[in-house]
Order: sequence, then structure tokens, then C-alpha cells
Amino acid sequence: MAHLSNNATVLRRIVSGGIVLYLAVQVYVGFAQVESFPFTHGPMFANAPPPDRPAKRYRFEGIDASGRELDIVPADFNRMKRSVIRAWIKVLLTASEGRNPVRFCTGLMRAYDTRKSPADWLVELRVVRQLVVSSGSGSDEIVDETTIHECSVAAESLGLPQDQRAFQVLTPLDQAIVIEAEAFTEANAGTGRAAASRWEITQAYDGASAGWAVEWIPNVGVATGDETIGPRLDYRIDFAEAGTYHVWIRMLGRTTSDDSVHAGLDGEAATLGNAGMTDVSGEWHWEGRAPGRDGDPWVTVNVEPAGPHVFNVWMREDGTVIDQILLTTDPRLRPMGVIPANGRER
Amino acid sequence: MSAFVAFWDDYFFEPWPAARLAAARIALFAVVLWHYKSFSFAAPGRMPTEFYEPVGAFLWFDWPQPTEWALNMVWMGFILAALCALLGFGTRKSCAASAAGLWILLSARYSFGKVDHGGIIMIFAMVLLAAGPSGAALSVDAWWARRKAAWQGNESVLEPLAPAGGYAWPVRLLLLHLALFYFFSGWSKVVASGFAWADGNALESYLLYRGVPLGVAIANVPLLCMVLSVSALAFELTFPVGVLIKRLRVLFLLGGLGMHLGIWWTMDIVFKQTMLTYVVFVDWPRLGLALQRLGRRTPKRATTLPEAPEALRPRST
Repeated sequence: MAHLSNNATVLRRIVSGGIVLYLAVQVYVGFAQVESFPFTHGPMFANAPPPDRPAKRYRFEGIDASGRELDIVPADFNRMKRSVIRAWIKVLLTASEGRNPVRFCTGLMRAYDTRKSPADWLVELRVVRQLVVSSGSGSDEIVDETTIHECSVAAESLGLPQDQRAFQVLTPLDQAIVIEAEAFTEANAGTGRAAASRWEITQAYDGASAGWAVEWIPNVGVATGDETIGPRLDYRIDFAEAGTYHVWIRMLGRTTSDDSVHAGLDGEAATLGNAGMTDVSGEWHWEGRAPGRDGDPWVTVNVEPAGPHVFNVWMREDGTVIDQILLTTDPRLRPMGVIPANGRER
Repeated sequence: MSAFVAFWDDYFFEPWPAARLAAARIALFAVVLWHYKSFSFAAPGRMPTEFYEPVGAFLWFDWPQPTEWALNMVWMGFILAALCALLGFGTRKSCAASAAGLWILLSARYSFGKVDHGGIIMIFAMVLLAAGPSGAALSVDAWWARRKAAWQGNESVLEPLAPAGGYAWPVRLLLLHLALFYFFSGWSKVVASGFAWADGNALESYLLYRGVPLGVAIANVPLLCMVLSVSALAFELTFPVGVLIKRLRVLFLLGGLGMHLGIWWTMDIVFKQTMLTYVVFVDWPRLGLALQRLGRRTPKRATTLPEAPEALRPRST
């Protein structure tokens, strides 16, 4: 720096000081913002906390939590008509009716088109989480969806006109087939080394839909590998539409030896090739893949023609627990949490 | 300590020709004008007041919801200032005015619930160009100063500006700022989800949610989702270090651009303003020289031979 003139040195020091200050502010603000950001953990849009500020509420009529289209009462949206072309809205479900207050609840975000006449404004509602209501006795209670009598829309996140493709139609869950695992129509014994294994309907696992799940017992380390010799559960389903259905099973795998099943249609397994449908997360988890085999990992069954078919679940490893089965033609659908069964319940 | 000072000097005060910083200014304001020339900022003036939640300038100064007229006026002022900055007319002031204008316009736009970050880096770029000597060359200001010096017979001002240590720091500081921008994106992922964010599930879900065919195809390969997630997180968290290392700098910049393009093509999320701001980091004078050299090396087109005289033409039998 000796070659620099005094003025240049002073200037350089001033600039350096400014740079240090600038960077310090940026780093401080960056860490502070990340620290204070209200991240919502878990699946997208789930567990969204209610907005801090008072939500603007718009009442829906004829709500049906299983996901049919709902008419918005037009008067409430009139003020938005001319100004907002499209907007994201967050749907919050509230339940009361003399019950304890809702702890949290979520719906999905959906676009609507305010350029249409108010009578045509529709919001598709899909319950991605059943309501969890504090029962006041220290444990939470899963409220049946029929108790939901009001839906509120908090116009919390209002986007300016953006890319139209951002708004996708999500398949309402009533177009998916959701079956409780314990609602099987027939149970078949295993053969070979799985001959001693059997199914048991159990209430031993917290977080199962309505408290009931199915477990393969005794848990003595039997594994059928890539064969369908395990005890089989059959579910008779009347498919309204033919097509390729994606298979999802809500399962609980506690160890690497108690965490897999095979699934298929009309006696033909769709999960052979490696380790079946596997989940070793130790938590309830929707699994839709049979990983590690050749080709597409997603598990699908081909329903052809429409009409009655039998969906099968074979246990691959004893000790595995399953709660619900979901079949959908929408490859984008990602089930989360407990879903109200619309197929068969126990 | 002396090593740190040397490193600091080498990074922030590397001798640059004045034209390089000036070219960065011209490139930035060219893309700013191109991007915002027909951008409508008036919409916030038409929004229902119930949804007005001021951020940025409007929160800072406690301004009420702006009217369409006011926003149009600010937009015109911003475009005019950006044009002046492009030409280097009152360079510092016009750069600062452009930054202020864009800050106000974006603040208005984001005061209705949807807060974005695309254009923010442009504002910082303008602020740093205003603070640095970006008008020392290739500008009306420089031309006018030379004319004035010629009239006054001041020979020293008429000499061409030698490369100096004062021209690099605005661009280098912006580069470090951009690196922090990426770092905090990665950091927020780690804070929100831990390193489990990189297991591929988050990316897969989002790719499927966005529904772009290429993204859906990638989502169906879980291993690829995991590899991309790990790469993205590692890239974001190491960006500030990467840009400090001379040899890695270009690689990281290309990586950043590549990541934005990848997000665009697989999720249809366009960080347009951020990508456009990358023009500041291009060494335009050097690129121009390289292109010139390339042009000279190109073999001249083969000249057509004159037609052979009648006597020399092959005769048909």
C-alpha cells in the first residue's frame, strides 16, 4: 500500500469501513430474518398457523369436508371483484358447535377467478388433515368431518396477477378411493414359512385413523421376500372408472424387519422386484413406492374394465402395521395425515 | 493479518479499468430498462384497502396505500432515472434515484401479502453503482468533464484513466451480497428442516406440485431428486466461500445461473431479475476484446477466382 498516495489510502480505508458495515448489516439481517421467519414444518400447506391478524371471513354454504365444490356466498367477495384478477387463498376450517375450540386445521390453497360472475366463483376444498380438537381431558380427539359446519377463507396471501399455470386443479379426495385397512372383505392365511403369521386388528398404535389399524403378528422375524406367500387381505372395490390407479398405503414401520408389504389387484402383486412397499420412518407415513426395482418406483394397478375388482395386500414382513389404503388416478396427489375414508370403514 | 489485508485488497481493490465498472453500469441499466419498460406497477393502486399491509418504503415512511396516479408518476421517474444512469448523466444521482424508485415501486407491489425477492438484488446493485465511481468512463459525465478540461487546458484530466483499485469494489461487494442471498436461502432450509431437507422429498413434492413435465419426470426419479437437493444445498451454503476464491468464482457464477435456469425449466419459477443482474459480473471490455480477436482469427472468405480465359477452359468433346 506504500505506493498509494495518502488520499488514496484514506479513501480506501473509508470504503473498506463501508464494506465491512454493509456486510455486517446484511449478515445480521439475514440471520435475524431466518430466525424469525414463521416456517411451517411438515407437508406443504399443512399445519399452517392461523394468521395473527383478524382474518377476513367468508362463509361457505353446504360444506362437505370430503372435498366437493363449494359455492362462496357472493356478497362477501364483491369488493374483490374488480381489483383482483386471481389470488391465492388459504382455506381454514373451523369447527365448533358446542365443542372445544379447534386447535388447528388446514385446507388447501386454491385459485379462483374473480373475472367471472360471483355466482360462478367456486373453491374446491380438500381436507388434507382431519381436525384435531382438544377434548379438554388431556388427549386430543379426532373430530368426525361431519361436525365441520363452517368454512372460513382468510384472504391472507393475496398475490398479484402471476403466471396462470401456478394454479392447478388438485384432485378432490372424493375422487380418490380411501379404505380403512381393517375394513377388508376377506382375509387369507399365509403359506410356506408365513403359514403361522396372521392379521390382527389393533388399537395399539396412536395416530391411526379412528384408532384402528392392522398388524401382522406374531412378530418373530418372518419375511416372505419377493413372494406373495404372506397372509393376504382382500378389499372388494367397485371402480367407477377404468384406468391406472396409484396405490398409497398409510403404514408404520418400526424397524427394518417390520416395515414392508406387497400390494396388487385381483391376485397379481404390483410391488414385486425388490423390497415391496417399505417404510422404516417409525412414524405413520403414506407410502406410494416400491423402490429399488427396475422401472417406475411408483406402485400402480391397472383397473380394466371398470367395475368390481379385488385389491390385495400381502404382508411381506411381520410386525408391519397399516392403517389406510388410497387409490387415485391422479399421479400428483400426495396424501397426508389421516384421510376420511370414503370407500369402506370398519 | 497482512495476508488478510492482501486478500481483502486483492478482492475489493483489484486494479480495474474504469471502463469495466462503467460497462457493468450500462449492462445493468440496459436490462433494467428492458425488463421494466412496460412493467405495470399501477395494480397496487387498485387493490382493496383492506388488504393493504405496507412493507419496505411504505412501512418505513408510514405512507398510505398509493394511488395509481402516484405509482405511474414514480414509474416514469424511475424509467427516466434509469435512462440517465445508463447514459451516465448525473451518474451517482441517477443510480441512487433509480434505486429509490424501484424500492418504492416494489414496496407498493409487495404490500398486499405477496412479498417476493426477485427485484431486490437490482436495487442493491444500483445502490452500489451509485456509491462507486461507475460514471468515471463511458458516460456523459466523463465526456463533459473532458470537454470542460479541454476548454480549461487541464491536461491531467485529458489523459486516459489508468486501471485503479477503486473500480472493482462495487461489483465485488454485490457479488458477495449475492452470495449471501444464496447462503441464507440454504441456511433457511437447514433451520426449517435440518439437513433432512436434502433427502429429495421436499424437491420431489414441489416438482410434482408445480406440474411442469420436465419437473414431474425428475420427481419420478427419487435418487435424482436427492442428488439435486444435496447439490443445491451444498452450492447455496458454500457460495460465499466460492466467490472469494478466484479460480472458483466463474464456476459458482455459472452454477448460480444454471440453478436459476434449472428452477425455471423444472418448476416454472423464474428469477428473472436475479438472472438479469448477473450481467454486472461480466467483464464486458474483456469479452469485447476476445470477440474482436475471435473475429480477426476467422479465416477470410475464399475469394472467387476470376473466370478462366476462353483458351484455358476444358473443351467438351
